[in-house]
Amino acid sequence: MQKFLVACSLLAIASLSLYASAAEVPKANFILTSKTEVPGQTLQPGNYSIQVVGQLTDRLILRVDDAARRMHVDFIGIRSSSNQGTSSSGLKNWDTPINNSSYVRGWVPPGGSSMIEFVYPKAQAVSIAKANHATVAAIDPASEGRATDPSISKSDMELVTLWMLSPTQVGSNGAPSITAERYQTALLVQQKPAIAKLPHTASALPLILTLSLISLLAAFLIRQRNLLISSLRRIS
Amino acid sequence: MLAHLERMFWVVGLIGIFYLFFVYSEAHAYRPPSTQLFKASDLLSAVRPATLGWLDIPQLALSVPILPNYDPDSLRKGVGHIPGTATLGGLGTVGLAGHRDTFFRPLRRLTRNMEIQLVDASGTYRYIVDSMEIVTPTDVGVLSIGRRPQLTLITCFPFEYVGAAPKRFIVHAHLKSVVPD
Repeated sequence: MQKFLVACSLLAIASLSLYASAAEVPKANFILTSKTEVPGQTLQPGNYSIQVVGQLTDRLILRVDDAARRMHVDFIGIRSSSNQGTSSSGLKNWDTPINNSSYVRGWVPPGGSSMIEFVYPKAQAVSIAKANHATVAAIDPASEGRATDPSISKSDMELVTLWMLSPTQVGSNGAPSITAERYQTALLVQQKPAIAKLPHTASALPLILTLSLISLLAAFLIRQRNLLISSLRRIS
Repeated sequence: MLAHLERMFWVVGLIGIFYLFFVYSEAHAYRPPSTQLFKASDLLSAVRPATLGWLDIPQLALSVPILPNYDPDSLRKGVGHIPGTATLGGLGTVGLAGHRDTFFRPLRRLTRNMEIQLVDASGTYRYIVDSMEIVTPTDVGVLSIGRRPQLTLITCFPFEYVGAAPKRFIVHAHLKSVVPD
């Protein structure tokens, strides 16, 4: 009986904590005073809200809505490993704007202690990494055969591979470049193979060449034999 | 009787030689005059629009167009990109297949740390050879996404085999920089 009561208590506590975590979906409103970039969308000055709409082991799905709810954009975020600039909640921009546009680095939810860093498409992530000399989270859906027009679907957001792009210098002249490393290799998901069997890349050309040469040699030998026989006949 | 046989052998032999000549001339039509003298944009404008770009291995004097698929027609003209694998220079594994008896024959002489260049409209992506291996045709894991962006070259093995070779020769290389030169 005592064991049963303990089990019931644990179950009740677990249920309450689950309810609490489900109820605590991070959400916040924010105001933009200038043109700002988030992954996949340019936000004009105005009032917006941001919230987490999906949570997976290695990523979060975020949604930004405008105040009139005429526009929304979904994108991927990851929990930042660094605690830089996370003393207060709200959006955090990358230090260096690109082409006069500010890029949002991430979001610290109200009451949160760490930043949710935004994951940008490869081209944008490369620009941010170059301009800020910092590591930037990136995706490249086109390289996994995932549709990107007009934007990546929510199901693809859950599966697309995450990368970290870091500025570095390559070669003896120290040319600036960007290296890529897969995010959280310990959680590597087994990808569906692109093909079921490796391509058959042996053509019939060597066989055709061999048969052609044998045919020509055979024809030549028959011709020589006939010539030899006819010359022997002439002699006899 | 022998005269007929001789005529048949001449015809078969000559048809085979003409076919080979046709195949090689068709492949040659896709080659650039000299890859070293051209910039990436010049190279691409010089070839037919069906190509995705070029694969160059300067140390093997190998320069070959990359076509969007690996069907027999594409593999006669160049090497084929495996759909579903990464785009040239993309974050993932780029899979390219080529004939071991034509374009990918020089891969026999490939060694570790050689540079492989993929050239497209955006520039030149440089990959460094990590390893080579011989696998069975069902070992599609060679195309899976690794810790770094990679390039996987696939051709049949053994190189000297006449007919459908039973194995595949695989080259693994990693991308030096996501930003093209």
